[in-house]
Amino acid sequence: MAYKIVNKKVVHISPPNNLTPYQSRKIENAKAPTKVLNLLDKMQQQRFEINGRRIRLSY
Amino acid sequence: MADELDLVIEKVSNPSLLDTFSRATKNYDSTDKLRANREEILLTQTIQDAKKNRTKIYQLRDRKTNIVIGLVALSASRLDDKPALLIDYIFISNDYRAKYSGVKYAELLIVYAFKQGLKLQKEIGLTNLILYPDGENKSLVSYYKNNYGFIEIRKKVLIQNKQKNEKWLYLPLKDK
Repeated sequence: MAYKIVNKKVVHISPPNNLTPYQSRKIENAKAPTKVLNLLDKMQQQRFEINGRRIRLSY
Repeated sequence: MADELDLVIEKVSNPSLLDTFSRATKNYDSTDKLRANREEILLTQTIQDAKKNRTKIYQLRDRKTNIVIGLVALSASRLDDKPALLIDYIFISNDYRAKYSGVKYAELLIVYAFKQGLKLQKEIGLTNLILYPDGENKSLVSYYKNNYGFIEIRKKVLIQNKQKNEKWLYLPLKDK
């Protein structure tokens, strides 16, 4: 249920489907997102720093 | 060094509790009225959808002050006709945005959404984490791409009989 504001009203929009073969291949072959995986590693330590600020995180 | 922040990301089981949060104008952009208005419209809609079980909201809360810093709303969706996890909305309260606090709190919510995607993938089929950047704001799109490796994909849509492209972003739910 992603949102878009059109003429000051919220419209629900859906992600792309019926893509071209090139777009489908691009999605299929996309590599693991290293940057997010590195951040996830950090976050899983539960005590870490972001921009010099010490953070304790639970979830 | 400043005190350690004690934060928790937790599911909001009763979205009505966020009604007060969404009505507090101080939570929205303090320098741009138009942007603040967009934020309020989108947050209100997100909470309404959560009340109808169309999305689930996870809030980031400071345990010491009990202040809600921000939230992410997640729902099931499809990308290229394959199951995917959709970030419906990410919101950080005005005072906690990086330009004021120096901390990218949104990052915690993005990585948390990715983590949830990987976790759910073990139970049900899921291929990607997707989001639609509000207003397809160029700097926001670049921010997601450069900082987290989101990949852009365009969707052709008809708006007032004119063909346009919607810019969507996705991250493959892969851990190696």
